[in-house]
Amino acid sequence: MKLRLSGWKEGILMVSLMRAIRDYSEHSLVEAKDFIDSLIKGEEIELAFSDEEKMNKFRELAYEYGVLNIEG
Amino acid sequence: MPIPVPPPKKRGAKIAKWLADKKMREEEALIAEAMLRATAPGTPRLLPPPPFEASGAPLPHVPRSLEIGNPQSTIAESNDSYSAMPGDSGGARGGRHEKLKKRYEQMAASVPRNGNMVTSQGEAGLKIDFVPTSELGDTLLTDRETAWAANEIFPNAIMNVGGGATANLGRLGTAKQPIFRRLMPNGSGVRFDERAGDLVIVSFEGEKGLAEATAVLIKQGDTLILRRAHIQGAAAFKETKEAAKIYAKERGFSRVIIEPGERTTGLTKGRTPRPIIIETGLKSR
Repeated sequence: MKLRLSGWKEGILMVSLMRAIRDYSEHSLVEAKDFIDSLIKGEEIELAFSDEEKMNKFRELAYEYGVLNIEG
Repeated sequence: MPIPVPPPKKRGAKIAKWLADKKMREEEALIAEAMLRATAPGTPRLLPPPPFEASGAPLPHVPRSLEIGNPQSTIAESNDSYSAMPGDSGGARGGRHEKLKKRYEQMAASVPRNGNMVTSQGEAGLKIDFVPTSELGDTLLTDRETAWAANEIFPNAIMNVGGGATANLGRLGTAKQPIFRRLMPNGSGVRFDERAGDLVIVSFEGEKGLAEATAVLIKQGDTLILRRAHIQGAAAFKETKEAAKIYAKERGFSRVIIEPGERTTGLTKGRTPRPIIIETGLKSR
């Protein structure tokens, strides 16, 4: 299960988003930082999840924290 | 006949030595005072021992992260702490704290143990909870003074300070530093929330509230570089600089360079600001 994230709103909560990626996806905190830096540069990032529940929870949080587009 | 020239007076070196000695004396006085407070009679600080300890039954399983640094543990100590970075011998000026180490060890010996846990609550009522992993509910209760000693026993543990703020009392930088020495002048502190390799998340309280920062730590001699730094929360620029300065100074760096990541707010969002160079006031070696 994967989600593709792109775009961000002004004031995106990067630290919270890092933690959410670490907590809900299959990625580490260090990877989360790399992903978010790429996202801020305008790139699309792809995150892997182990189950749907975590993925849906992450989707909610990511919108809340300032990610604009989430697909998958 | 040549006129003899007197050797140059090394006044600067003398003054520096005097200042260093003075600082050491002050630190020792603070520790002695804290030890007195921590061991003062009549202070309701100890929790009763757990039933398993009284019964002599074998100790329950303790999660790996709590076993780190425990003499009863058979698990090797984690090597992922910041002080274990290549070339890091305990911070740029780690040797300065050697004298204090003995004091910490004395503190560690004086902290009562409850099996694998330290269970002490100080007069200030400041409680510290262990949160090494998300599934843990184990709790360490201590005050700031006994937290030093707890740090000796559980050197890599992440602790949650009462009030919601998080502190990592692990081996971050130089000697194992008591938590109060990380406090900022306004009474709040630079606290370590999480660490993964060279990446850290710290939090600190400014006038407008809690702010969190993340950066990749890079050491270059006496300079600490906070690369790809991002701040989240209510922190003024001045406070951010002050937090970085305190963080670096405590680890003996003479200079800290903040290399910000891309801005996510303001008119220049998406652009990378120029690095900010801050002198900590310590002399470079």
